[in-house]
Amino acid sequence: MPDTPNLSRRGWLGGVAATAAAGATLTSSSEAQAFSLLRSPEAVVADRVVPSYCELCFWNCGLLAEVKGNRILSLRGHPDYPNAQGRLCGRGNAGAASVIDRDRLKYPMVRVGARGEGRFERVGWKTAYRTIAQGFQRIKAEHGAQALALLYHGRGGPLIRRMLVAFGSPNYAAPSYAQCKGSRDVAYKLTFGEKLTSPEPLDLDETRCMVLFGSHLGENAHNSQVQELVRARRRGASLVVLDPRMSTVASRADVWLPVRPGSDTAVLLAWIHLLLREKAWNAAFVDKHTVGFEKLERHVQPFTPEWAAAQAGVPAADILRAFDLMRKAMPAVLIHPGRHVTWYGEPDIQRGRAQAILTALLGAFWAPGGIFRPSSPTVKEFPGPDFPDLPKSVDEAAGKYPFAPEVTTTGIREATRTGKPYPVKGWFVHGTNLIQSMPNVGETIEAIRNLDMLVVCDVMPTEIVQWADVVLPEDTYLERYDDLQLGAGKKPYIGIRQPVVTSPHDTRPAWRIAKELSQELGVGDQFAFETFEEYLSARLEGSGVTLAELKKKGVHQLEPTQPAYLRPDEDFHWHTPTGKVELFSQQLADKGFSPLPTHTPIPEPPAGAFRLLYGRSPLHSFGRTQNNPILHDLDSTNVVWMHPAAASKLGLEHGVSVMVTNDKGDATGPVSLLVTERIAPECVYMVHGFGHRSKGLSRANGQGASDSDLVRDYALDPIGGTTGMRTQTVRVRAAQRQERR
Amino acid sequence: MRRPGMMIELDRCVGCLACVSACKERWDSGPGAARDWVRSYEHGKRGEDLGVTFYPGLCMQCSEDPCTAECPTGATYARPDGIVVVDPQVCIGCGNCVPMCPYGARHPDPEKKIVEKCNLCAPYVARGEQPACVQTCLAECRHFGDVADPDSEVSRWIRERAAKPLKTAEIDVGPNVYYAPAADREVLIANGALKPTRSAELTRI
Repeated sequence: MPDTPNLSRRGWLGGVAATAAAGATLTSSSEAQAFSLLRSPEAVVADRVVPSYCELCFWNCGLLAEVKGNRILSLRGHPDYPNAQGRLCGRGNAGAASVIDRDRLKYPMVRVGARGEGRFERVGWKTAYRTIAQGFQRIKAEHGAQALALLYHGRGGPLIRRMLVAFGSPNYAAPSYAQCKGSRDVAYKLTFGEKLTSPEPLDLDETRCMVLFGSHLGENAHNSQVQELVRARRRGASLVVLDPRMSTVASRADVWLPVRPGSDTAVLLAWIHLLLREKAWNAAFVDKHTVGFEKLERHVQPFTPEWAAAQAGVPAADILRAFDLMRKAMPAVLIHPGRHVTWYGEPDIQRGRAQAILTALLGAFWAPGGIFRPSSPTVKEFPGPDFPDLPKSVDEAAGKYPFAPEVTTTGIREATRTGKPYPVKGWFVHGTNLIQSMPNVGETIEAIRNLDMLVVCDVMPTEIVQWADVVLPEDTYLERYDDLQLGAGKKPYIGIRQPVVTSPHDTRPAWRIAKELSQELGVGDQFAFETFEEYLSARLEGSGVTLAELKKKGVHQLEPTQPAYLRPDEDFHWHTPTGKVELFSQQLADKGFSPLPTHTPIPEPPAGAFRLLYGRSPLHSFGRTQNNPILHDLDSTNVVWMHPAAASKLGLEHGVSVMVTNDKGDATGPVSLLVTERIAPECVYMVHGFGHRSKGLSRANGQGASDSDLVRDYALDPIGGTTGMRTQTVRVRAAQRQERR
Repeated sequence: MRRPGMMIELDRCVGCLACVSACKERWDSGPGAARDWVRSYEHGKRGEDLGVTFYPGLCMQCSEDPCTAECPTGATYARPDGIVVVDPQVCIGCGNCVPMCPYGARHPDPEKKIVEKCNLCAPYVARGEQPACVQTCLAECRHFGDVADPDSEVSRWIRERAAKPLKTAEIDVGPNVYYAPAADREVLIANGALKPTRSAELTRI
């Protein structure tokens, strides 16, 4: 191919239209700026390769960025990173487009219009910091520091947390607990005394049978887990999937159990019943490490496969077939604990407990092919003055959620909304769009209206930004340092995020925002460093790798600190009250909850209504990526899945434009109907994260439907404070002319 | 003679579209355009034989390269090793070649104003890299190499999984991308992966 002059590969300065490649003017459409459109991109050669890690989602895959000048030519998976293994998913490959997205937040702003109106004026950083500091100081003076809360998701959050805690507040929470993994973490902690790490310590390399509960890996592109699952299948490991929807991975399963929503626990109890009835449990593990076996045995007696089949609406023969696969593979059976597991409230704890108990009975905990024992790297904390004594968090003060290991977003929202147990008057929101990430948007907005100050720090003008009093624009992940990635696994590792290019806007990294704002708040001594390199170097001291080496390699592998598997003779003292794996949980009993897992059927939707299920697209992470130019181009909208029988009853045809509604008067859409046998007749399904309403997101705004707009009836789990969000029933009707786009 | 080609395991593909995203990124495809694709086909009945097959497609680098026959400028041609390329400096974007491909593997790029297609990442392969789609595939279902060399890894994969190109008795222009297993291959063909070629009026796009 002929050489092309080295013109701009990426339209790399914000607002600057894509530059023309040789012989052509390429800016005819308004979207052209988002693509660099070189006819011969191969002619542009990188002048450096910079390792870092991804933030299109929170798997945080290691990456190698090929860069020329201030332009990213390509991103690829880092070969030495366990969570990437040399590959990136569809999102990660498109990461450079987030740098050139013209819709980015470009400078600090303060609100000039009414709350929620989204009218702002540009200010300098100093003014922004002072506005925040004045607001926060006033709140502290009037209500105490505990009236401030941090809601966060992402690598920059912990440094902002350091600021908040130094300022005197215990109230910090992430939706990744109460709206995602929380119930699983509580259930495994109650049973094994350990919560699971992220990525989950799944021994996919050794497994001979995998059992998934609603996990739709593949559609959910958790990079290394997808790779390892596919490799396990290639090796001959069997696969069982429970899901009312034929997900991609369900379509690949040996046994697909299209269970009625919320009946997974019935099937789990039947498997436990079978394992005990056939005296097939792993006696060595059970005898040495567990308590409550006899009580469990009595408890599961009634839970026959036939009973479970009736509960779950699947053939008993298929429950048995799946059981046989597990039994044959014992103990190398992986009962996948799931990740987004907040479906029905308290039943989620029961399901998590049943998964953990089955894992224990199979002898598959800290065992080859099951859940392994991860090693975590240890690095130094950056030194600072002692933190002040903290008052009780909102959840502690309210005496709620006895087993929650952290403060809940829901608890903070409730305190803000009601003033009980005490008022919360200021929020700092970092990297999470609460309008989409929490159920019942009405309660979120009610809480926001009670605030004296809402600060939002983000990269994109999402819905929550429209409600802010002060907006702080963060650098994208490709432009900033962040704190170290401390990867747990069979081999622990330390990873670095470092600037690959320089932000073309007046944006700053979270660490700098935390440091500078802390100075305004009078707690700047927590951040006694000039540059972030200084901070990172101090943390790495004694770890075996220097900052310079880490910047060059991207990742540093360490030796494991403990064996990945329990030794047969190992007398492990489990971190539970009995020191054993608790099949029977006296802790739960003492607080008035069921000490053994139970199955509570979820009510059927009313006639003509559907249960709303939601899930992931492999090209999007929550609501974070819909505006990314490449990802929008590849996957611009969601669709609503409906079974043909249900569609024909409603007189709706495949491809028609529909609105999805709840009984509270909310409607979302218009959105296309996908008529498919893959979804159960009593459910509808959509990918989460679409249906944005922020005008600042010029591509994503108004595209598709949002499940978050509909989920009002969430189920609050009294044990761990998580919110079940599969509890909403909805109706579907044809979109009227004025509703259509 | 070396003949670069590919083998794709349809039963391993998870439809994650990492391949398309990586391709679009590497080749700077314009809005709405990409050199490769993943389609999904549902078949069967719930409770009986319901299934899903993905179709990761790309230019099949056909030995007969019918798509080059009616190019008015000579911009598109088969290289000696069989890879069919478009010279972006010569292409006038007339679109004449687009309907000549039975797989729909050519597309006009709305911004570049030329026709684009997969070239198996030839310039990158020459630098010792893999095609972008192969390099990033999470399911490791793509295998790239010399399909003319019986000892190559891709040939071994083709033999081991009895992979065959997508072709029918009516439409066979010598494709060099192989698919396995047979049942999924049939689903692709039944869903119209191949269409009869036709000549187009010479039209500027």
